[in-house]
Amino acid sequence: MKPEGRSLFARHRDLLLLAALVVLAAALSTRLGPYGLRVATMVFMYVALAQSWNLIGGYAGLISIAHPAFFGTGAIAAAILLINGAGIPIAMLGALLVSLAVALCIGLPTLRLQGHYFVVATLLVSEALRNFVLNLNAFGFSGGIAVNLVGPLGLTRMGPAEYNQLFYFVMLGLAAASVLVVLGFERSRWGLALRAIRDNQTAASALGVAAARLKTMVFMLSAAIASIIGTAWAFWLGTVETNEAYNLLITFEIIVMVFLGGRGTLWGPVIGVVLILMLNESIGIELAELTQIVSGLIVVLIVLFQPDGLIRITTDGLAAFAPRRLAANFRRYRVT
Amino acid sequence: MSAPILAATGLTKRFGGLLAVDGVDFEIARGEIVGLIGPNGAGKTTFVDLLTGVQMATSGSIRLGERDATRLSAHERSRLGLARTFQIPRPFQDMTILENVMVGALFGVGGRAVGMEAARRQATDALARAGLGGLADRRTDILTTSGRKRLEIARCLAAQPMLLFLDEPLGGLNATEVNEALDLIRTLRDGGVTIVFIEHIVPAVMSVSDRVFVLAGGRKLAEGKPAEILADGAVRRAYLGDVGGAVRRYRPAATPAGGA
Ligand SMILES: Nc1ncnc2c1ncn2[C@@H]1O[C@H](COP(=O)(O)OP(=O)(O)OP(=O)(O)O)[C@@H](O)[C@H]1O
Ligand SMILES: [Mg+2]
Repeated sequence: MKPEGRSLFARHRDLLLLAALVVLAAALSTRLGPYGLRVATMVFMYVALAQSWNLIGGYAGLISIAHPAFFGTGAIAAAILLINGAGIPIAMLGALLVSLAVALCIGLPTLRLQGHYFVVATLLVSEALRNFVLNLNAFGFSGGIAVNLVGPLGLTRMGPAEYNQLFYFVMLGLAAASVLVVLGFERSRWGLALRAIRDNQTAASALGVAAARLKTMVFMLSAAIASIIGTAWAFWLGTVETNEAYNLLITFEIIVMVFLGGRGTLWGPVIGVVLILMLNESIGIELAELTQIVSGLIVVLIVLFQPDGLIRITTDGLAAFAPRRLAANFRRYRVT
Repeated sequence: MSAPILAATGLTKRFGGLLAVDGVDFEIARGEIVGLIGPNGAGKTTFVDLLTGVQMATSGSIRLGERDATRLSAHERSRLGLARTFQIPRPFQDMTILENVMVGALFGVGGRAVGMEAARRQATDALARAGLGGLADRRTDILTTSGRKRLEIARCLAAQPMLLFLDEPLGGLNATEVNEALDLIRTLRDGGVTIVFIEHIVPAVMSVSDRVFVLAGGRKLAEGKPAEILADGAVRRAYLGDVGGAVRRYRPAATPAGGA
């Protein structure tokens, strides 16, 4: 059989690639200026976020819009804990636990819903949570006012350069960890089971896959990663604001990235993140609306013509985007 | 009959005003092959759905050995030893054929503890037994109707069930393939698997079954040895009559069997 016969290199190709990218990024850290460092940190953060969404949206095929709830709670709950005198580790852990509780409350009812209902329900729930936090007035926290974390973080002795370096590595670590989680997941029986559920839940259940439980577990895992990134993001900025933390646009952006690169694949989301962030940076802040229009267009085109995403190039070469292939995909996937 | 490995009592499924399965009692003993026949719309598939937990019964009860399985979900029943093929195949389209079968090996009865490599070996073996060896790394969309039916069987084999339900597995097979499939069913039984076999190709069912169970309009019409069923007047009128010509014309060695 082929699997046994695969070379050591082929079997560990993804790990080697990841290690190479991390080493490269670490080496770059001292070469990058403040702007480069900021953009790179952003890329790492988005890679981690995109991978966390890829678990639920890609592998499980559940287009969850609940991500702002987890990212936002990771940020805000950590901020509340910090300003109440908790240390950084307690704030991180506490925020994670609160997010997991939120994820369970959202996941248990919504994961029973089919297709579009799930999408709409998760969207409504995360918007409801944003409104709730916006009106929250407790623990010395007021939802409408930005919280300054620079003091409570106690990192004031660091110079800005050092501070940015620190978060460059924090986000790099999170990005690498999230790729590792997806890699491990993809290779495991759970990854296979999840793909089976995505393709045909009835058949998967009849073969012994505990579909409801597995989907809940993946939803929680995805939420946990998003929450940790939310916490790191709040610490990085040194200030958090409710509307920003629970911003739906961040989630829409990562969905675009995952679809563009290839949902349910290991490297697709990474490619998507790099391309979209490069696009954003080159178009610039003055034309932010333009990038949103372009992003929307990209999703429509990719879903219609190459639903497997750009990652297809690595397996099929440019043939993946030959006009005939795109036309065939269009005929196959369009709604008639 | 020795203690049944599965027993259903008063099993009923209502779809709005339609009683698709209507108070059916059913038992099967270890090592039996039971043929389940009946006209189109008789409720055969729904009955198997109820037994395997793919659908929940409106009323009635199901026992698996000593356990009350009435409220158990499909995956729990699978882990207790049940597997079934689907009349309309349900392949996992975004997977290779081997991966499809690995799901059975990893999560079915025998496989809960095996690692990925062992699952791969078991799946490869199951593919070969179901006649799909050599297609392991291909995608399911290359399969013909009969290939899809074989894939259904392969997934079940990899799950190593003690009780296997086959819902019209012969659709799209030619006469030679039908005989191969029947041989496979006998081999499985000799290996200790109990089998419920739904099929419209009556001679095929009769040749392989120890007992035949006839459903019509959601109710049990008759039950007995193949020869008794063939001779049963009510069965002939309700079911065999309308395919009598086909039965007489049926030549296992020469005629291709009808589609699904
Ligand atoms: N989900 C459903 N909703 C409503 N009616 C249904 C449903 N499933 C099946 N039925 C009806 O229940 C009856 C039994 O259907 P079932 O598929 O179990 O029959 P069958 O014996 O398997 O037939 P066939 O030989 O054609 O496969 C039919 O009248 C069918 O139309
Ligand atoms: Mg049927």
